[in-house]
Amino acid sequence: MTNFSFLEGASHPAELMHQAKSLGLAAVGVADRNTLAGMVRALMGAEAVDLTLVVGSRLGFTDGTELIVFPRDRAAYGRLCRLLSLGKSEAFSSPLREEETRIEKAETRLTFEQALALGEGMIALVPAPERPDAAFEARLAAWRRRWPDDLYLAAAPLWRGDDRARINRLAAMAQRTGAPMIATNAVLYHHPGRRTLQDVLTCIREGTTIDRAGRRLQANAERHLKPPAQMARLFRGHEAALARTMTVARACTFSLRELSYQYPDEPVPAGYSAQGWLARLTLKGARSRWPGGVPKAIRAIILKELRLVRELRYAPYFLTVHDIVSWARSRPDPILCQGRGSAANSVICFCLGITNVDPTRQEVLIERFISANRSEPPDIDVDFEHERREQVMQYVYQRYGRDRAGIVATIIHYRPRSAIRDVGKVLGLTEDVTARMADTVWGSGGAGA
Amino acid sequence: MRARRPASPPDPALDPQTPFALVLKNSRGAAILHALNPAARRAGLRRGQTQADARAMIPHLICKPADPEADARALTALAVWAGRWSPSVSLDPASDGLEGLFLDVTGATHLFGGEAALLAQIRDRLAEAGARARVAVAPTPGAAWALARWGEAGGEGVIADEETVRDHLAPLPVEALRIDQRTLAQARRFGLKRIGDLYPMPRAGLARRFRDGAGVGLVQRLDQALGFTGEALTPVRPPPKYRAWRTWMEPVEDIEGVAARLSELAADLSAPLLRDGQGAKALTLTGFRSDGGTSGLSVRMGRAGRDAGIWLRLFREAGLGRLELGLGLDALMLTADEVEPMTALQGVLESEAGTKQAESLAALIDRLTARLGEDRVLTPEPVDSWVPERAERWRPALGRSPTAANDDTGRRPLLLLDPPEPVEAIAELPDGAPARFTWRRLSRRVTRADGPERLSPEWWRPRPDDRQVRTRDYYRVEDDEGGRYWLFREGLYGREYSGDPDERAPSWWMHGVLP
Repeated sequence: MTNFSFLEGASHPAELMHQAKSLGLAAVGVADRNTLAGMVRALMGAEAVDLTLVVGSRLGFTDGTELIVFPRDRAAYGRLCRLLSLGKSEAFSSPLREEETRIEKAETRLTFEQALALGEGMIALVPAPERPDAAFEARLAAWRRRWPDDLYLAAAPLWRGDDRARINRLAAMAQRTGAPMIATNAVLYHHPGRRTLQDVLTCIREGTTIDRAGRRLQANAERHLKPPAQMARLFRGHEAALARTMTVARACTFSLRELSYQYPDEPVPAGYSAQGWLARLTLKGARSRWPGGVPKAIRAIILKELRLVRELRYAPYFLTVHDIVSWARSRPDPILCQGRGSAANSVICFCLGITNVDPTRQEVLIERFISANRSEPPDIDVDFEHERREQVMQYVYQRYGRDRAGIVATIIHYRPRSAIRDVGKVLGLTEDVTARMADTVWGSGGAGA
Repeated sequence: MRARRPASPPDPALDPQTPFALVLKNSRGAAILHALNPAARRAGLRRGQTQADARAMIPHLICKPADPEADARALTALAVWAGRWSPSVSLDPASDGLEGLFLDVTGATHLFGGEAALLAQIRDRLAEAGARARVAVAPTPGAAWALARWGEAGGEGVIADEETVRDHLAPLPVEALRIDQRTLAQARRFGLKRIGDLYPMPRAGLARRFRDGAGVGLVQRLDQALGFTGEALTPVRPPPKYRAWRTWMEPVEDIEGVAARLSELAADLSAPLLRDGQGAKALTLTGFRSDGGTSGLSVRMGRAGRDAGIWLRLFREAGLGRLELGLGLDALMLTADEVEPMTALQGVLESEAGTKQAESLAALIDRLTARLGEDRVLTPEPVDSWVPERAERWRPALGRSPTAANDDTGRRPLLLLDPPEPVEAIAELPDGAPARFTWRRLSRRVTRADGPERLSPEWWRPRPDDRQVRTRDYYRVEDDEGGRYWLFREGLYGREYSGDPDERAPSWWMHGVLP
């Protein structure tokens, strides 16, 4: 788990990747709690050190059980995303108990059944509990039978003094239920030195000070990445369990790099392609912008831009933005809107009425906006009249459906000031001391302090 | 109704015919006569005279320095002793070397056979204790103060009630109203010599003219004496909520006698408790000696109760012999210092046997605590910590019910060695269980082992010295003779010890023996 399992994992994805590489591991599977939010950073970290990333998530069901899933391919990844979205929207729409009205932000509500329905193509790992008993074995057997793909029993050493016996017992259970045992380490941080931070995070999560946390903290500092030699020693006699980790890693060939933008199909009139329709609208718009005749230089730029758009296949995107803007302007009481930013460099946008920077009066450079060299897709920022933006949002939801449109959210993270305050509280410092310390920090955060 | 007696300090062991005085240095450093014995008074000496003058008059006067603090302590002890007559005894400090006590005997005089008998008893007992006293009973403290000091009936003590108090006060001099010198002089200038002279005067005029430094005017004192305004007294000991006491003609001289009378008192005390639905959690037995001293014994209970038999047992455990009997006790008092509401029956929900057991355990703890002291009877209490020696602490058992321990798998020994004992062990690196170890000079071979259970140090605790606290790996081992042990190695090979000669190598310790 990375620190994207909030207040649980204590290391950044990049740190985990670095450490894994230095320990000599070949691949790392990352499964954060009910989220895929950390995957991009994990990928970047893995690519930086030439490590394979196996994308996954640790699903937590409403009955308290857990299941770790790793999608094999792109299609399974899509299903996993849908499953997580379902779980998070469930939290909003269906209260668990009648008297419940408060919903936790970022809460996920899923059941095994829901996971089952979308589980095709996902390799599953069932984490073994502290005391594996008959009830657990029954559940494991049931899940094994019903899961549409491979299902393993994930065993991790607990360092409670009975690891050898426990792993033996789990191996026997795996034999009986048909869920092969696989060796994991239940990683919470990359290096044992990170344990103190993990303890502090536990205290913040539980709302207690470090003195009073007691046994809510981990007993030891063993939940860190381990080198293969140590794992071999811990699982002596069960080498197959270790080997299966590579089996899973190899079976999951999905890489985030396979993801590409898929623009919604904009309905265009019969006989036209998206590109063609865009070209037509652009020229029509150009004629209305320059009634006296489109200047030659402008025409050349338009053609250049259209060629670029066709090459990069961005036409539907422009059409989408144009659609929203023209809807806004066509209201009985037109909603004010205007494009800004790098999109102002595009004459197509000017012709479509998205932006208002006149290319005859201002030097524009399309390369600032889109170019074949840059691997990022374009980003057209449009500002809408503030009081009426809700109407525009409703239009988008209505047009594309509530489950296909969404608001992008950013994850807040600790800045130095808030970090000092929260850690100080855990360590039992009084508020005025922590406030004084926090005030010594300059700026609002970032890489400094 | 209040009774009051001023007392002169007990006579010294000197010949009562010899004039004797206690002297005190005043603010200017001159020695002033503070107290006189009757012989000195008969010789014409007076309080407030300088020692020099007195010596001039009576060359053979014997003087000793006064010790006002000891006097105050003695007076307090006497006040406690006077608790046999009244639950509320207050000191009378505002006196000029003639100390006094106020006893509130409201509503209780009949128990002593009437006011006259009570006064007689007080005087006699005090005399036996070596304190001569003048006593009086009156409806207000002010009147009692006045009548005790200035009242007639020298030997008997004045008894005044609401109707007669005015008449009794009338002939007394004005200073009997506890006013200061300035007011007194002023009153004399006006020709007011007796309290009776004040009665016909207009109140408002008197109030305006006679007001001392503290604003307590003549009129106020008069009103207090006559009962028109109240006067609050602070008792030496707060009156207990429940008390039972008895006196006897023959003083009690031995422990068995005390025990016998204690059972009577216990029965007396538990009746009102039962009536009010209360139970006592703390009891005090006070014995009043005939020489004016008191001796007390207290017991505490974990649960409120009113069983006289249990109380007796507890007092016996605490040791009735600890009471100092002196020449004998002529009164005993049992007070309930802490009470709690208590229903008649408990334990309806639990099983009979379980309740009985719980109650008898509590009773046992009470008795042990009474005998040994509260901080000697302890019970363990679990503490939320992974570190074994910190997972428990000892607390006084009184009033605590036993709680479940943290570790319910029986993996840890019941008793830990404190401190852990050093062991030499041979084990596979880096974290294998020991194959052989030597403890208390006996070498043992390990046949079975389990572990390690790894416990990292509690990093947030301040370290006693500068030594680094390291991770412990605990192993449960069984040797070839069937003995089972709980050992640990302190320090991890690799992470916490790299073989550098400057570092301490990891060491092995025995922390406990497993069943």
